[in-house]
Amino acid sequence: MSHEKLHRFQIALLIFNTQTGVVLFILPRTVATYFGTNGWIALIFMFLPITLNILLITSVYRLGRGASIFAILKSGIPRFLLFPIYLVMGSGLAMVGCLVIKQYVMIYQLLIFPQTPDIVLKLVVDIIVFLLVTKGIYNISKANVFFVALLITMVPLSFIFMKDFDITRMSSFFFKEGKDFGQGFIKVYGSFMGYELSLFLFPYAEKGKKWLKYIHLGNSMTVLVYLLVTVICYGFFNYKELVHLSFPLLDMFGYLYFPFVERVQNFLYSLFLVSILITGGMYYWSSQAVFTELIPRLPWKWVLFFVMASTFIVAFIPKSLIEVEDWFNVLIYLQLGVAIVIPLLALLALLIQKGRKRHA
Amino acid sequence: MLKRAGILISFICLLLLTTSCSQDQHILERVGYVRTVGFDRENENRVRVTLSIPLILTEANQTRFTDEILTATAKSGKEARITLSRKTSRKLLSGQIRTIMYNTNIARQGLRDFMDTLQRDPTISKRTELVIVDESVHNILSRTYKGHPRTGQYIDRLLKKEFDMQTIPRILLHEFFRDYYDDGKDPIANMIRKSGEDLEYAGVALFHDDKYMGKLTPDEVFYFSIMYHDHGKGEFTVTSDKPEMKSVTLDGINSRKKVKIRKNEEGNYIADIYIKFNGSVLEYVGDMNLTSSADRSKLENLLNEHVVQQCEKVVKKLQKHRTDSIGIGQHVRNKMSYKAWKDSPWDEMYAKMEIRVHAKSKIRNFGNYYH
Repeated sequence: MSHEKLHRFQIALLIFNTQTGVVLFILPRTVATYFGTNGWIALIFMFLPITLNILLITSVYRLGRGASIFAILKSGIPRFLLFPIYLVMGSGLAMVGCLVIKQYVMIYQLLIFPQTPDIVLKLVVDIIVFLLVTKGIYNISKANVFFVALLITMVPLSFIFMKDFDITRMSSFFFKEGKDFGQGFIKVYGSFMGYELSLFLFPYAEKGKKWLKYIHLGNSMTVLVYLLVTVICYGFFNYKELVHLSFPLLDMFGYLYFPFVERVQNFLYSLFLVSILITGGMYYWSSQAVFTELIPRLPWKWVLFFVMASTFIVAFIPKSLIEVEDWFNVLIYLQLGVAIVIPLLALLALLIQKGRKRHA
Repeated sequence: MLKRAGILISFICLLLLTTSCSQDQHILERVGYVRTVGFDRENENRVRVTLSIPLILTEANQTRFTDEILTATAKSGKEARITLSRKTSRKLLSGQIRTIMYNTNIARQGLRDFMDTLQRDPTISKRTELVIVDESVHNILSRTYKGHPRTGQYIDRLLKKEFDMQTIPRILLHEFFRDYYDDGKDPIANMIRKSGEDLEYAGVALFHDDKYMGKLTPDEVFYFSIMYHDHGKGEFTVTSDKPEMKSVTLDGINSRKKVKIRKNEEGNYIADIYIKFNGSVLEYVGDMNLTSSADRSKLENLLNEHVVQQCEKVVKKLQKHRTDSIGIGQHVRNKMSYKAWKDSPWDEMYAKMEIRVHAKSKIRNFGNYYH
């Protein structure tokens, strides 16, 4: 292992950029559909369970004294039990990475290249992701600093929308006409996913416990950006219209007008590629980490190659955006599993290990 | 070795991408970018669709600018596009549509069926202007207007100029859809008409949900507009029989509107629309001296009276058509509980509601003439 370590601020940005992605384009609709009028408030409530979840993950690091998650699990749980868990987790994470890219590419196809097969576009993005991930986690995080800077430049655009923002449109009703709160909770929770990958960063992070707070920082950045976009959408459109917009943020970008360039939304959407590279890349990287643990003899770059190649083939199956969204609805549970069950298992492993030491 | 393989793979992919994207290429000379689309009612269930496509024809050394006009009847807009496409040598694209026009006969029956494709097709911009016309859209689009730009461009520029000068409300597809979905507001659209050899702005079309109910004349539009949104510029002229104010023209109008809702003793809702505006006098015909502050405030009061009177007239008209275009409903809704709002017959309430207008004007300056 190299002596290089991830700086805590880089970790915050990495978490932030892994969480945000295509979901930002859909989130206002999801929130409006499930939470109804002034549903954006649900995002604030969501902050609490996610913070608790992050605390659970960080407690594993604290109690495990910085050992890698795999080492912790191995120390307390028999290998035959771990094998299926790793297999499911590794393939699940890879599928998330794959679908994130697939979804991005399908919207790209809808917008700009209606006749081009989406799988060709996906192949191109996949190659960039592959090249990025093979550079290793340190370089990913360094590239990410630049990517986040690019994305943050879009935030001032929100001032332009302020002109057409009207608070009376938001109505004085709260959570009326929502569909299914339970389902909505899981969907919105799912849009915050990405922080669970910090589980795999333990051995790469800087020494000490200071960096753990920066996972919260990254998550807070995500909450702020999500809130900004959703609140503006609620006042720029109205909740009833939001329910009928496939990609509210794209429609909002479409309203932007600069005298020197037409159709800015296509350009802005293309800019989101840098967010997709990190979201997809981090999931593939984590999946690779899991599979490398399973097959330590194979060089990790080859593991990555096989993981990406096999998900690429699976990506042929979903043919429409709705199907991809349906797949995500299933994968959310797997992500939740990684975020909650794996840390709990790790804590259990630590307990068993401690018990053994005491008896020894 | 690995590096060389990487380069080779990238090269193959690039080749794959460039060759497959060729299906999405648009060669400018072979493409017809539709600028204006018009819909007329042909009979019970068929519409006449008219497309106007700007063309630049270069033959030998001569360049000619013209509009290609295509027309067909069909059940839906997209069906017509397929028929129309058979009539042209170019590939029709809707990415540059600037104006969509509907005849009032169509608008009266409701625009809902037409709205579907406008919302679905990602190539149609939400910044497209929506225009309603009383006469045949086909007739307006298929002729040229001497001394003006090509028809499609003429309409587009005419509206854009008015939007920029804030003399008419800026209604693009986005605003129309937004207000259509809002349960406390009804959408509006702008109208144009033929006037001799020219086209001219013809007022505001009032909608209830997606149905055209009536219109405001161009003279009423200013008063509607100051109740509809805040102004940063614009000008208006007031004429009356009073010797103190035969005619006044204010320029650089700056206005703010505010709607307040309260309940009277009988439990009925009353809306107060407060309008604050200021501007500089460009022309004044009357027997007062604007340098005196007493006369100035007298003129301001006369202006207030006039604006209140005109605005209330417009409001009455809106109530008569049952079109809540100003969005009074939004404010009433925000005062109610969810259940009360859903149970209340808002359309009825609105038609009978007491709506008062209050105006407060301020003359910023009276120009170069010191009198």
